Amino acid sequence: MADPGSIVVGLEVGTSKVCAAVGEVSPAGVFSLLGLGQSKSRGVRKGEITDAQKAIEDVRNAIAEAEQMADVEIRSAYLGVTGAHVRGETRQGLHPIVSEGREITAEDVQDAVENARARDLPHEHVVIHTIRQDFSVDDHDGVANPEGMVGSQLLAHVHVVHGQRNRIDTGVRAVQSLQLEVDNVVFNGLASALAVLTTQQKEMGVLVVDLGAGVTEYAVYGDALLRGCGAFAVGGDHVTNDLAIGLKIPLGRAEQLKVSHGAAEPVARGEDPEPVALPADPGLPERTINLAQLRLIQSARVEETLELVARAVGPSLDLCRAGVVLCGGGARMVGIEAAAQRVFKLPATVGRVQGVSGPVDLLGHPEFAAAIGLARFGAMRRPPPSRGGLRRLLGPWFR
Amino acid sequence: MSASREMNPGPNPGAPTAPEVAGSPGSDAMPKPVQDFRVVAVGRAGIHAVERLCGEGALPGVDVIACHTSASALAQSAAPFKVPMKSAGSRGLGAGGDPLLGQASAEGSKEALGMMLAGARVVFVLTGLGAGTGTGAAHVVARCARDAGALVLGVATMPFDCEGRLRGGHARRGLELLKGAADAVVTVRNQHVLETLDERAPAAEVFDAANRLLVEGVRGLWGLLTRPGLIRLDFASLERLLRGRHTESVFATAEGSGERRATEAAERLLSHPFVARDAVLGTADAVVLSAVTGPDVPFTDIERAFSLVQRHCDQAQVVVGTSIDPGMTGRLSITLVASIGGSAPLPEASGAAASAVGAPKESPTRDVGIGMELSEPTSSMGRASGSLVPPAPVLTVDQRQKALDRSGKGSSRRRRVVQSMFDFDVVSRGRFEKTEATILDGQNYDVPTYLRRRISLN
Repeated sequence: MADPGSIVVGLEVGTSKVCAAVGEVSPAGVFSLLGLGQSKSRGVRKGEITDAQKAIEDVRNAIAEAEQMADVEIRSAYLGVTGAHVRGETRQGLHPIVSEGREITAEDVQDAVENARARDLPHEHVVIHTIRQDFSVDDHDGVANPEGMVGSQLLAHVHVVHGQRNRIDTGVRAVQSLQLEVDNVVFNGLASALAVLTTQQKEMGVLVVDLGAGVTEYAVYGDALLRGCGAFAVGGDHVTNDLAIGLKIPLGRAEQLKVSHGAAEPVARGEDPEPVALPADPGLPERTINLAQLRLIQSARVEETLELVARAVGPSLDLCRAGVVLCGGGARMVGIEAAAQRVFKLPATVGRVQGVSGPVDLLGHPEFAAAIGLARFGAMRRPPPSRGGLRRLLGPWFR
Repeated sequence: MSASREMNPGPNPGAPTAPEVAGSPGSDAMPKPVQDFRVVAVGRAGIHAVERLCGEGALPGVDVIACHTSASALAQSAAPFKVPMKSAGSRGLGAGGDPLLGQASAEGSKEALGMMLAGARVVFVLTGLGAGTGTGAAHVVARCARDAGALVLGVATMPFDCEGRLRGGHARRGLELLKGAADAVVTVRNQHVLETLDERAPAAEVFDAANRLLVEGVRGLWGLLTRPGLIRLDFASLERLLRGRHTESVFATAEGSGERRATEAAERLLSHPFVARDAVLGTADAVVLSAVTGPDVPFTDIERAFSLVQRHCDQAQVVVGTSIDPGMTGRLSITLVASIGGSAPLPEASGAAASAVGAPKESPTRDVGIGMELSEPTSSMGRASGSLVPPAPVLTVDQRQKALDRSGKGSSRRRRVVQSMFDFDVVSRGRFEKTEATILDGQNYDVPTYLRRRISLN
């Protein structure tokens, strides 16, 4: 059994599934995946908890499965948050340098970042992440680290991710009610990016789109900096719902059809797929579904969702020389790469978890990217456990 | 004044280094407030008011905490606990009328504030809205206090009309924020204060009057909660009335003496400029009435005064309390707090409170609760009789038939058929039930794309 101090857990309470990823940080700081537990999610809609009781039950099941698979006891987790209320904004904080000699100190940098962070948050919103981009010293732009430079004015460019306090608290409470501590809350979109991107891709510029069941998240990197991120409450559930309405079938049936016969691209000209026969309910005539219709409905929705992302990313899309990486359950859709390529006009690939060792079958699944990314976020936060020494001796008492 | 305070943390109150200590987190050497009640003065107006509060003789069981963005103003304060709020822009020189700077500073010293507010049950946030520190920082302080689990009551002055529209706007925004953060806010509008005074009152007197009202607000509420009462207005009932309502409250005190003290006090209270204005009592939804009397004042006087005031509370939930102050021989003073236009408290909070207090439910519009001590025995009696119900008699077949026949013919009252509710799962309205519609760029994205884009399926 692994040392409890080196265990990090990422918990994603998603719309279609609850997923807990257990990882271990080696003394050298290397992160590896030990196991993963998941459970069908019943209390979440559009990324937000609507039925706390059911959500708690599902989290319990996922955690229990993860504990069993990784053979550890889970005490705390990094919780993913998402939903339409989560917003990312780039802000600027101005800080005049008044010290003697006008040399910029670490404190000045901190103040400039604080100034950027503290401004004009919507009512009842709290900051989830503050991510430094770069600085401008007077009119010298693109400074990575202004400390020690001389100038009269320091401008910090900071990407602030914020969300509504109550909705975040709802999730935290649900987890806490299971006697689990929440180490930190993390925006799912950034967690996914952390899992599927390499440093190289970030340097070249890349767009990550996490196609969830309830929420579509995106994060865009350019020149190794986070340029933007956000979430829309549109996802795979909308595809299912569209199919149910358009084909006049129940939601459950629509979900099955989407998985078995769905595709992100409409049927090509000249192609004439066989109609699919639906097993009839007793006493009703058998029905057949026209696949061309199904794929028309689905592709319209997928295209629209991706266009939504493209519009939000805006000009930063030009920075994405490494193309688009897709993850989330929606990335399993047939033809999604082609659809993304068409909308973004960039090469698109389905992401797999990068730079993590662990069971290969888990790392290849794009739908686990967020949970694994959350655990990885935790691994980055946690200092590697010290070997031996006083701390190990006193370990049981000072934790 | 400050020399008489033994709890002053700094070796020398004038030393500029003394307040700096509190700003750095983890300074365990700082004495921490221990009392249940804490008064936090935010900004210059708050500190002035606190000065008055301390000057009138300290309230036992109350810790006074001063916070300000200006280090020099803070150093002059007599408050035993101080939190300097420093940020990049202010550099300890005050917020300069910029609420954003005030807010940023307060956010920056959240940790120190949290330390000061830990363990408090009731926190008064005293401030003047309109300028930088009070407007920007008060709601942050209030939120810190709420995070610490306290009931937070804001007491704030609003600027004079002549201070200009900018300040007025700031103040209104600050008040909204404070209302959002605190459980209840009592406002003292300087303009109204001005109207109550003589036209030729000198400026110092006007400000003094405003401060007095602010202090009276705190003192009155504090007295309400701590003075040994005959009908004790306890913390629980005040909390039930205010918690989570985020209201703006009106506060007034009036006194009467002599034979006609009851009518006098009630009339003065009703004609009090804050109460008479805008028919406050008619629209209030929660009213706290507290009488402080001398030991010789008969109860009928209190009763008369209360009923005179209550006559005007149309829809309000009224909570009353009385207490005795030996120093008030022959006098009767009534304190009134009315909260207006609040949202109803959170359902689970009110439910829990109602069951705990056993509030009388017979009239939903006007519900006069009188403390825990009185209502508890009745509810426990009800429970006791419930456990004495005898077991069902054992009947033979004949007897049972007879009983059935009889009940069929007789009293319909006992056999009222109640349409029971089905326990079924409610039929789902689809996948997006219980969610907000996803409206982006004026389109409802929950509606299928092919419908919105008019894509023909054939």
